[in-house]
This record gives sequence, C-alpha cells and structure tokens, in this order.
Amino acid sequence: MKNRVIVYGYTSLGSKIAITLKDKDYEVLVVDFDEDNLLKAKKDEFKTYNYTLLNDDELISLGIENKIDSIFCVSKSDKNNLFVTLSVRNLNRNLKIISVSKTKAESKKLLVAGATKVLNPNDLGALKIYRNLTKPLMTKVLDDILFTKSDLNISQIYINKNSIFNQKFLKNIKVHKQFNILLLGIMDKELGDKFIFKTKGINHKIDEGDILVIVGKNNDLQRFRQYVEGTVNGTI
Amino acid sequence: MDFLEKIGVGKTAVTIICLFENDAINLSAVLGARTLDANIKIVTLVNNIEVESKLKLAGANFLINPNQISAMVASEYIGQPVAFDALYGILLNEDISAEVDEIEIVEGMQIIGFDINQIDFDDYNIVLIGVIDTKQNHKFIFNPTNIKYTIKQNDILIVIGYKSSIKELKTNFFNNKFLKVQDEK
Repeated sequence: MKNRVIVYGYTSLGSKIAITLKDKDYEVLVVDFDEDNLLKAKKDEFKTYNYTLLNDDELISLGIENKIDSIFCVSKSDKNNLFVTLSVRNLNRNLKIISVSKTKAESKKLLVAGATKVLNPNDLGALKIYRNLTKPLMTKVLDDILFTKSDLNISQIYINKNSIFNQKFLKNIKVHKQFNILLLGIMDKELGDKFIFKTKGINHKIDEGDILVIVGKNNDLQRFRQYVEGTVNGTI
Repeated sequence: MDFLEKIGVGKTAVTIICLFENDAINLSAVLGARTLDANIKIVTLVNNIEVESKLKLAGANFLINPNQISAMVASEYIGQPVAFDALYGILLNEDISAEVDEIEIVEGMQIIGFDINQIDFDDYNIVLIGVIDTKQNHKFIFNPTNIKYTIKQNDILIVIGYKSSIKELKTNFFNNKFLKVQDEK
C-alpha cells in the first residue's frame, strides 16, 4: 500500500513538497482553505479538500487517526499551522508532523505543540550557499546521496529481536564490508535517541530498537538489509 | 551599477551573493555584476521558479531556491528520518562529535601513488565515503576499499570523522605515517 500523506497548504513551498512526494510514489492529499491554492492543486492533479482543519472532525474524516503516515503543515497562516500541529498530535501520537518556520521562536512553539521536525528554509538556503562556496565538489556528492534518485543512497535498518546484530558490539561488525556498505553509526533508544557516530571510542552494544545508519548502492543495501534481518522478504 | 562598482565589483570582489526576496532586484544585481566582471562568481536567491532561467541567462553561476531545498529535505525526511537526521546533522554540524570533510591531495603529499587501501582509516576513527577522481571529470567513486585505487594528485577524499582526526590524517599524508601497521612488520 502506498504511504498516504497530507500537505496542508498548497503554498509555493507546499506545492513543491506535494510534487516531490508524488514523484516518490506517495499518495498525496492536498488540504487548503485558500481557493486559488486549491485551484492550483487541482490543476496539478492532486486530490484536494477545502478544509481549514481547525476542528477535529475534518482531521478524523481524512483518516488522521490511522490512515495517514505524515502531515506537512505549511499553510500561509502560522497560527493555523500551529493549531493543526497541536490537534493532529492530540489525535495521533505516532504520526510524523513536519512544519516550517522562519524564526526560532515560532519553531520552538511548533516543537512544543508536537511537531516531529521543523524546517527553516532560510537556514537551509544559507547552509547550501556556504557549502557551495567552500566545498562545491563535496556538496555535490553528498546531495547526490541524500536527495537524488542516484544509485547511491543512505538508509536505515531497524534492529529487531531476531536480527543477527542483536546483542553484538558495534565495533566487531565487519560483515558490511563484504556487501560494499558503509556503516555510519547507530541511533540508540536507550541513550535518548542520540545518533552515535560509528568511530566514537565507546564500544556500543547493539540491542533491540536501535537503528543502524548505512550508505551504499541500492542493490547492496537491499541485500544487506535482508541479511541483517535474517529474513528474505523482511522490511521495516 | 555605480553602487556595485563602489563596493568592489569589477575590481576586488570575487563573489557576490544576491539575497533579496524580490527576484527583480536580484536579477538587476546579477546582470550588473556580470556586466562589470566576466569572472566574478554570482550566487543568487530565486523565489519564483519561473525566473530561474532568466537569472541564469543574466549570468548567475549558482541559484538557490529555499522552497525547493526545504521540499527536498522534508520529503526525504519522512522516508528515513533517522538516517537523514544522522547525515544532515553531521552536515549542519549539529552533532559536534563528527563532521563531513574533504581532504584534497596536494603536491608534496607522500601518499600520492599509493593504493588507498594502505591507509587504515579505522585506525584514525575516520570513515572514508569515497574519492572524487579529478582526472576523470570529477567522477565520484564510492567506498573504493573493495577495489584497487591509486591516489593521484588533486584527488579529493570525502571522509567523516572528528576534526582532530581528519587534521591528523592530513598531516600524516605528508610523511609516511599513514601506512597500515602490517606493512612495518
């Protein structure tokens, strides 16, 4: 089944998000309260809903409680974005809520309201300019890994109880080299979801719930994932 | 144009970054700067995607569309939040423990001519992501440890590690200390 996501606000940012997600094969529902934006979304062939999402009934009718994977709160109104973030979090504890803010104060509020991630377009743009001026070649390589559909990708593997890495030490894992895979590090549940870079001196013991972060070619990633999970068809 | 000249465009300025939220102002600055200096590096913000081709035509080298970047980040994030946070965190230097950096192979480094696998990156607590081969039109070779790769001048190694480790490795490239211990046995 396709992952279903809501884009709240078909703004210039919202439309870009919606189109990018559609390209990646997500099922995108566009919600907006602005007629012009809705028309634009319709023209771009999205399923549209004329809602403000300021009452829970609208959210529930869209399946927010169990049928939606993520919501992007990027409407033109900061207040609405904040309100919707809070309502959604209240209805569903696990859903990914991504929002956007141009100031630190606003971003803090959104995080308190329950946003999973708040992006700051100004920060991202500034970083991009800086990296392009100082290290253009490196930037291109990393952008290829992170953003494009190139063969090289970054991926994550969730460690379950049956995983062959369960109870092993991070330092002792060498097998990924046979798969032509780079092991960058691990996200540890016990250490407050902090990312541990692989080479950090501490010899970390892997257990259930940890998440490995790897980089490699798509085929190798898939083979490695199957190997680690001990299943042939296993996915996260 | 007068103002651009006054601030050094056409003389001392090597780069100009145009960041107005009004594309017309950016366009005029890009055009002015390119007229005054054929070689200056011009970076500009583009707010409306339709203006992109015009800014390029006017002579901009590099265009930034913040919405486009945010959209890419947002859509990539929901697929693999942990992996993305990890690499992006390293890039943003949020995680002070490690950073992504490049090591350029310059003249005088003793490492030139050696096989890349003779360097023990693990020993430095460094992960080698790959090499940019400058001789082959900046082709990126991912994880060259499983193949034989001879290091040439002007190659760029892309690594993740602590600042101090990367610095140490760079210094050691100038003498012979980079080789794996087994070679000394």
